[in-house]
Amino acid sequence: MAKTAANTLAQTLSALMVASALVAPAAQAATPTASGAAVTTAQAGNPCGPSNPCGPAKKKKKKTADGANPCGPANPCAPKK
Amino acid sequence: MAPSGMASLHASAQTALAVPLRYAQAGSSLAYAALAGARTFEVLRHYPARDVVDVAASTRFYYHAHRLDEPEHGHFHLFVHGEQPGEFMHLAALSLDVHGQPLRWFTTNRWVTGEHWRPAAQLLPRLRRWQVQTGGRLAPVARWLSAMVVLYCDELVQLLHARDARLSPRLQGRSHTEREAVFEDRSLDVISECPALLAPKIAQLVR
Repeated sequence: MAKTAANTLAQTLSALMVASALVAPAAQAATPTASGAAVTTAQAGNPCGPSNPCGPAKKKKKKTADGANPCGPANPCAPKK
Repeated sequence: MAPSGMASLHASAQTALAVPLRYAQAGSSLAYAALAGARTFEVLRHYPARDVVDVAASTRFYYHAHRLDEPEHGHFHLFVHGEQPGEFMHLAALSLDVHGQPLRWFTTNRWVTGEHWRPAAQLLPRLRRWQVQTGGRLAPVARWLSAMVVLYCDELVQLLHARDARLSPRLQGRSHTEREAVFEDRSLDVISECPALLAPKIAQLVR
């Protein structure tokens, strides 16, 4: 059984490698412009920035209204509340 | 390893291969699927917008990108929820290349996600049973991530221990304020990492 499972894995891996090579690469992330359109720029994506529009930066602002630290750091990789 | 453990590992490996294979056969990849149907892929935006949350399992993930450095397309952040409302811990992140192939696992400093920091020993039981289930278009992605966590469980255990080991000298014997400064150190984002390439991992299994 172990040998069968190993053979199946090896075959699936081979199939994946072949099939993946035929798929077009996905476009890289872009920074949104002021107008809302997306553009690609090598300067984009400072992980230390406060710029996650849908993330914890908003969460921090909500807390601010309740008296939390208004200068708290943004967490660009935090989960949504 | 016990036969049941090996069978589970093989089943997870099969899922880790079969899900991206189905995408590839349809002319797509995990890198497309992770965007949950969004038309544009914007830096720092969460995909999906409200994250994928499995209430029953107390787990969550989302996909995003914040650097435009090849070869990474973006990465998933994997979380577990704590016992208190709003409490969450980051287990690891998993990056993909532009073809949707996994590249590397990594852990991050506390400030990156704003998590409730827990030592590795407290996270490992949650890691070992981490899975996320969801419906809709992200269901296969959730299955794939759950399988990847099982497949790379040993590496992830080491990764979390390496995270703690790297921070330990900077934390021991320090005041609360100094410890907080370490966790908020913006020069320290990725703390530990390891490869997540499927081919060598599968080769290990079938050897």
